[in-house]
Amino acid sequence: MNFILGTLAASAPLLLASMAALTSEFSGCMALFLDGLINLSAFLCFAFTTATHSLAAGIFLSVASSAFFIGIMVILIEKLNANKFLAALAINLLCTALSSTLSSILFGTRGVLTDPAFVFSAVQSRIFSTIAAYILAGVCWAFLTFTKSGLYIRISGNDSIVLRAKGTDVTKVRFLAWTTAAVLGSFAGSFLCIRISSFVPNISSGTGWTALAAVFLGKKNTAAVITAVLVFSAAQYGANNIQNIELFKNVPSAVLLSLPYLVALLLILIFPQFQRKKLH
Amino acid sequence: MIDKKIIRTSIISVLIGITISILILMFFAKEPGSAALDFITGTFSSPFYFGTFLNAAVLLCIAALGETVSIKSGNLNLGGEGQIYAGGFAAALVFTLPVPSSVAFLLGFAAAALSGTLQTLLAAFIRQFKKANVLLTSFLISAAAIPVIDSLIAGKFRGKTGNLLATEFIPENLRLLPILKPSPLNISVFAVPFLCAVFHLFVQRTKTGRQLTIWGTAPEFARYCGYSEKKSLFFSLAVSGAMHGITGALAVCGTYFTCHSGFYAGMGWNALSCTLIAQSEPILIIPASLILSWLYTSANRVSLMQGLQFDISSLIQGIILFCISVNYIARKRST
Repeated sequence: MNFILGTLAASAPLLLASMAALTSEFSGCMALFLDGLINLSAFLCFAFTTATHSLAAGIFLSVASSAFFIGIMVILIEKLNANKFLAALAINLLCTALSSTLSSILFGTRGVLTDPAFVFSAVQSRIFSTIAAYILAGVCWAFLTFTKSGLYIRISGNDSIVLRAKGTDVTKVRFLAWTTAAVLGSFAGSFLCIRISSFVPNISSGTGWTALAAVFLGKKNTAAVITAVLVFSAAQYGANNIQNIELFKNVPSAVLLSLPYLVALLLILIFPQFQRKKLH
Repeated sequence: MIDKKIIRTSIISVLIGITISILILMFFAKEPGSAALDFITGTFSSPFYFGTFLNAAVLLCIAALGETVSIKSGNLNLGGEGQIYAGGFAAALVFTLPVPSSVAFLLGFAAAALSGTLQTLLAAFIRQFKKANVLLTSFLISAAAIPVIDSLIAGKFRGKTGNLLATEFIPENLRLLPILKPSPLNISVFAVPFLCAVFHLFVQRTKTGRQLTIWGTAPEFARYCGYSEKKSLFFSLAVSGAMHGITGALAVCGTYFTCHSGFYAGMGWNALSCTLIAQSEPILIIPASLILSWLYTSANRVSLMQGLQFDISSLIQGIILFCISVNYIARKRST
């Protein structure tokens, strides 16, 4: 039971990031900006919460400013007709650099940030963020499945010609997809930050990249993506507790940092063949 | 032939990137006017900064040449940082082995190339058998390798380097000959034009090079011609990994003389930017690396002089890459 609850709790940020990656993937662009965005939004959540002394305001302002930033970048990308892959990579680097720069300017350090106004109960924050993440993921799924805008997003990547023939502005659809991804990604960042009651540089620890791997494994199928997220999270939960097992107690903690990436690679090696056979 | 329009769009995008970077520096600097002037001329004001600038360009060039081959074949290798780190680490270990210096030197570079290649070959393997995007897997492999190397440097292989988290310093006789003291510039600078020419000839004049390029630009046509996708994929990524690994070895035996924790930081992304500015053309990598190296050396210098507490280089990195992404499309349109 502990393992199931632990896995569900561990899956919350990754679930949101994966839904963000899925939304962006539908619109025809791999969300390579996600990892950086999670770092930036986590920092913004910390900064706004400590400034306003309100967690709700902190999360709201973090999500709003991250979505605004990505929205501006999408407009620039579309107006300048930039390469979306490279631009997304650039945004990823920019977001991480911005969180470090702002941290240095506002708090005088690029290291770990803590504040008495940013201390939450570990259990409560986990329960709150897990429930909120699953609700948000459900809302995103419903939006993509049952709304006209969601349908447009789903076909804008592969069949944008159909949308254009129908007279729909594909640029607006992509804008909607990227900003939706930004909203979900920044919730993931905020939740990561709240869970540890502090901001740690590179707090995402590859969550954005693991989300891309989950979308790859799920072959753009929401249920399969969620399954991949749960498998990743179970592996992550197991890895986090591996040092409690006598046999693995000497595993260096630095090696544990590489486990999310190793698990992603391992699952890519194991799963896709099976997925393809099932789909075709 | 290199299209003049393409060069022009490259120059424009880089100029826009540089202008934005200078404006940011001026915004945060205590003395904006002198910061801007220092940014442009400061790098050439002392042998140390001039040598540092050229040395950084050398490292960028070597890694960018590797990136060129993978991009030419249509595979974006995003794992450059992990490959450089692994290369530097492997070389640092081999250089300290009790064997004759010439053997250690050759073995060190071979180990560096191999450690980079193993990472990219794994990405190629996953691409070949699981159809996973090289862009994603190369990054995942690199990101997994970095903490492991960090852990090895901090643990089992930590040398007597005081507070520095690093391996043992390499012997004096394995260090590349410096040519502009006190800067880290060394004789490896003379190898760069030769290597660029070799890569240029390989891409333009050999059958394998042309096949790689066709796979990158027109995969359907390459398939129709019967060119081996597997060969193109594995070969290009192997070369890319090897060049990144060699960059790490060069950084160890020419610049740091040890493999210290995090020495790779930014090198992989900068090499990628360099390749994109040079439009994956080996000869153009020389000016592209000089521009980027000047930009980062100047930014770091001004940042130090003006007492800026934050890492301006990573901010500039993102800005430059974004500007290149605009140029990349302009180039595609003109071709």
